[in-house]
Amino acid sequence: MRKYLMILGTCFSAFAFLGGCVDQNKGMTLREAYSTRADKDVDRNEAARFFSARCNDKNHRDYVCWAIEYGSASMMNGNYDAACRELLAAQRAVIQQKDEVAEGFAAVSREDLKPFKGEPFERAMLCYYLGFVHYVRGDFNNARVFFAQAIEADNTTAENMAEYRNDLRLAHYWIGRSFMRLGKMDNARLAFSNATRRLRRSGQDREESKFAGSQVKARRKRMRLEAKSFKMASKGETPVFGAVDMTTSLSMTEMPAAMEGASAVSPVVLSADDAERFFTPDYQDEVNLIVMIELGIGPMKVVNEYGDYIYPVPYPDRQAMVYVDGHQAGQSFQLVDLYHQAATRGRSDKDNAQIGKAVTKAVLKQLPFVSVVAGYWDITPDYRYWHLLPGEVHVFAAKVKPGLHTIHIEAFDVNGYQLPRYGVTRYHVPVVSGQDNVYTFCVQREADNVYVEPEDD
Amino acid sequence: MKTGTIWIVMGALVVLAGCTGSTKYMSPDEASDIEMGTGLTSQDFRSIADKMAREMITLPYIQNANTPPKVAFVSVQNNSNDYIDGDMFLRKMRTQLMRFSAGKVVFLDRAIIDRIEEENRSKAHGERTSSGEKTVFGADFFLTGTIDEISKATNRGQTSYFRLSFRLTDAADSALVWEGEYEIKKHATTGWLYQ
Repeated sequence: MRKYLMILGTCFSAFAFLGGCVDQNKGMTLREAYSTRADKDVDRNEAARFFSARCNDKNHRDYVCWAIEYGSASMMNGNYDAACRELLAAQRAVIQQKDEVAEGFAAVSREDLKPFKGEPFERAMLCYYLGFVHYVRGDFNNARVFFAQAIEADNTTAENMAEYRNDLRLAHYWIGRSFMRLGKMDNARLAFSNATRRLRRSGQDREESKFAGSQVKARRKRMRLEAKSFKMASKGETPVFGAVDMTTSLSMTEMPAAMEGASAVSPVVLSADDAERFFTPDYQDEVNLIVMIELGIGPMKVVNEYGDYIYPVPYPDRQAMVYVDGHQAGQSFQLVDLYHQAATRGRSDKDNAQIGKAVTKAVLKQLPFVSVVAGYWDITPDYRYWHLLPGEVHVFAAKVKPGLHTIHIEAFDVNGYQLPRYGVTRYHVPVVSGQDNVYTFCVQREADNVYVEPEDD
Repeated sequence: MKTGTIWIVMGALVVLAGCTGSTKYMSPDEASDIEMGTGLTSQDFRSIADKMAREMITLPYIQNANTPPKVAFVSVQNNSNDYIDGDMFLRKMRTQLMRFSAGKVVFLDRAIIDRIEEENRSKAHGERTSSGEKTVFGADFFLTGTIDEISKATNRGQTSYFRLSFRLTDAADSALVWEGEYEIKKHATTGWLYQ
């Protein structure tokens, strides 16, 4: 009897111990949290809490990884103070975190044993978000500091891609605005001219034409399915109340100057149609509404024993147009393509070392006696990356009459055709005179697809 | 058997001790392991404030003044790419000067000027006791400074040159009566694992 009680007690203890190892946060899975940018139904607050719970140990090797995801989720949620707090700590960790023992092990075995500090473009985006929050708060000098650090982080691109150092146009644009607000117009002019300089990478034309071709087919298929779907929803056996025809997909040039239900007079006083005028200190000084538009999903990292590889995540929303109170205000200008930044990070000593490890392992596996041990040698490269980065960031800026406005973003595919399901609208957006009114919009599929049932009389 | 158990327990304790973090007191002039990068450190901060305070105290405007000159702060302009509170230098210099100038300089606390004026209004209205009427001092000199930086970064590392200059300006005629500077150049390399 005593023996059975002991076995029972041991089993109970083991279960209790294992129970402590299981993640109790059943509200959200890692996969859901990572899809916050792609899926509008993911609760952003819950995602932020999910990442926040993993940010407690600031000395942990994954701390920066969690902190940047938390920063993104908080930024998307509009909680800039919380984002800034954690991103500042993450940036400090990038500079100061050091673990010689773990780095030693990472050098000869799996790379993720080292503290995560991100790729040059990830470090640059970390500094960009910090600068952005400081700018929104009106702290222009510290905003300038962080945008300058973003440019410096971009400069850490490897030697074989040295010409792509200093090509983070997003940071150049914002450092220009910061200089302008600090009264340094000469520096602002230089920064705005850097913001217009686009460097193309080898093979980019081929990639783009291939993608444009695939989007033509995708559009045809989309329209066919939308028509079928609307027919079923409106004339089928069970009609869907409030179903809307989404088969209209106009080109950018065909877009109406005013939408249905637009205000009587356009509140837009000044807007720029071409980049040449847009990126001038005179124009930037005039505008009072700045809309940052985050499109798509950032690049993803895939690893095998020979290294890590960056792949673009295909997303259709590539261009955007802004409507204020139903009136066309103008198109946005692309400031950064994160895949381009990732693809031009270059080949570093770390990448060469990884190939060295993989080749050594392959050779050892062929040798007698050591082959078994070599099989257990784990040399996985660092698979960690920033999942919640956008694919592209665009900017729109105009001079708008002060007051509360409805801002609508219309998204377009790479060929300039409207994506009706990707529109985003925000109501009662305040534009206050005598200050910069800066807002961020994340374009997401079905973000506006909400039907509010009319109240009963 | 007992000895064996003790050894196992001691061994486990040693292993566990290695898993915990630790805190130790350090001299402010001592560099810690995590002070990496090319930014300003506590050692730089102390050296700069100390040097500037020493230079200021030898000024004839201070040494030969009949009445102690009154000095007010104007925020330091940070033109560097580092996230620095420039006024930290002024506060440290004030502490050094007050400690070693033996009352030859009077500093004006403009950071709480609103509270001082509110207090004086209350005294004037008889809401609070007063030890005689006093007028808030005007500044004879303004102490301010500029932090400039030139930095270059590549995948292999970063080099930063800092120039910190502080100046004392006559509040009456805007004449610059003193300017001191401190230059620092640092180079930090990036480990290949992080390139």
